[in-house]
Amino acid sequence: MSGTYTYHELMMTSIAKEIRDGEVVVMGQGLPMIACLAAKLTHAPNCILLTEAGIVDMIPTKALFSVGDPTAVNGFSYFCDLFDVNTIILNRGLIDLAVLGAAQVDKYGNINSTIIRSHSGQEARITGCGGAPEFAGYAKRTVITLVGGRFVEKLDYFSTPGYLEGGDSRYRAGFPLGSGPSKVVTLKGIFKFDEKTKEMYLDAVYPGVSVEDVKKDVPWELKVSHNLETVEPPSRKYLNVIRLLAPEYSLPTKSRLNRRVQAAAKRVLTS
Amino acid sequence: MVEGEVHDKVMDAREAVKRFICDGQDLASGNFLHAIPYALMHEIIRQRKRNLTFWLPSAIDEIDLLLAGGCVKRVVTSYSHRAFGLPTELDRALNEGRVEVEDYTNFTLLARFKAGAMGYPFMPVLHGVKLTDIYRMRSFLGKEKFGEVECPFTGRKVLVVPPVNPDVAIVHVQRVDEQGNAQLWGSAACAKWVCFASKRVIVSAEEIVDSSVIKRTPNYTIVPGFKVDAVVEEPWGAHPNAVLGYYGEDEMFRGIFYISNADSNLLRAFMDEWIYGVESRQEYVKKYVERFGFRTLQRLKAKTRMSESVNFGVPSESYWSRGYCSTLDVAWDEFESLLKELGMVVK
Repeated sequence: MSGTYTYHELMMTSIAKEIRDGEVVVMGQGLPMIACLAAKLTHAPNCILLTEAGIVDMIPTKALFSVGDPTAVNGFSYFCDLFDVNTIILNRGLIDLAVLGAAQVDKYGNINSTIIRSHSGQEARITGCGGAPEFAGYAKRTVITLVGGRFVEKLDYFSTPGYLEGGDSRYRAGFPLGSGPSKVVTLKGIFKFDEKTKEMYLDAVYPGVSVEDVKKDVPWELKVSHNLETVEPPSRKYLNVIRLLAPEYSLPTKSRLNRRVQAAAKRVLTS
Repeated sequence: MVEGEVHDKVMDAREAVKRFICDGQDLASGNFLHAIPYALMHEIIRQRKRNLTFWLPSAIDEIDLLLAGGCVKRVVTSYSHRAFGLPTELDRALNEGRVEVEDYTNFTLLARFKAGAMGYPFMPVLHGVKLTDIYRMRSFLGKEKFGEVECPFTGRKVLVVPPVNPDVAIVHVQRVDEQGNAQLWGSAACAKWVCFASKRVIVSAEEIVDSSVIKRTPNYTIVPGFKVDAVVEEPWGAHPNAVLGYYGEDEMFRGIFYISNADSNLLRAFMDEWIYGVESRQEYVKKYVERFGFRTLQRLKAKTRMSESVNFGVPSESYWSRGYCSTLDVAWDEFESLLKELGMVVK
């Protein structure tokens, strides 16, 4: 059962479904966070959502403005600082899942969110890595989300470890056994990692998206699952929750800001 | 105690910034994406402080603002928000070579504050960062950015960061007393460590409250008064950021800033209007009401959702009750006789 939906909404639903009930989940900024909040309000009511700022086990009421925003929750159970989140929680293996955004991702799920280089070699800053390097390093598994970013053969700046050079290189480097990116979710489909080589492959596409469409975004020879699936459209339940929590996130990025400013102008003029 | 002494720390933002922030210093901001001390930052910009090195783990637009004010030469950070993919003042400053940026992760940068706060020579951090460009790429910190030591117990290599003790920290909180006991609740990711690490601490607060209020709710205090140098009462001091229990994020005003930040002329106009064009936060709020209407400001105000208070009560507060100590079975006036009887009195 579904209504009209957008690829942004399907993406958030797909990310949400990666969260299992009861898991301890650390949320990155933006769209990945909305997906986690939606999971809490649908199939995973017992998951423990936390942000790096130390807001732990929150009941969300709307999209958080940032990972430090305590004003979008109807209470939370534990309060600590960012050092605590990284040490007594993360470093002791208590985080099941990290859901993180990325600007560049390579075929082994390594992430860049710091600096990109243009064809002419000019460097431009993105945002900086925030807390992603530790979370992707030490959470039991990671879901990487790619909205505005892209796949690259080689990262312009290596901010955050995925499977490094593939194979068992991640574990030889000392990261917890079994940890690493489990999926990459984009606006076109869902990618997984080969168990042995740790190379990313296409596992599922969204309705109306072809393998060729996906390959256009991938600069290496992308492997495709033998049982390639088409992702189910989001159910009414997920659509409602996502729109309830964060109506802006169903819109394309550019028009979000315009709508917001226009709405404010209208309000000011009429008040 | 000399009368007036306890009031020494209370001052306005202008005086606090004038007295405690000098050109060329290391400045740290204690708020992590919540209750950002915009009033104090605007004052730093108005007073045209120069050549500061700015330390803060994650920023929305704090770096952009201080760069546009010409206050900052170097930045140590881990994140600076890029709203809606738009260009920022930080982009322009980097292109024009007006700023140097050193990148940490949130955690490794906070570890530096924590080491500084604790007086430790270094702080171990999670080793995985060593594989990344955060470790490999060095700007002005060079060899001081990370180090490695051998664990004396396991022989394993341990990645460490050195302490940092900035000259001054600015932090905004919900409430503070005149001594500087500062309370921040809801989210306080780094505030404690930034304040304790820094040599001077300027606290601005939504309100100054009586010390008895603080003493009944000590669990909310993130930094004690004896570590605080200046106390500034500054309602709306974090606008357009949210302060839990006081006001929410002003998304409309954020939108205006994001658009302004994308273009240097627009940003200049924004700063002329909202920073240079006012003398204080009070005037800023007045201007806001003139521009957008009182109702727009009112809409940002938090509704009331009181936290249950907890019982700090005890069975008895003293060993003495009405001149009698039941533990020793002695009256207050008989206490010295008892001491004499026991041969304890110094002759």
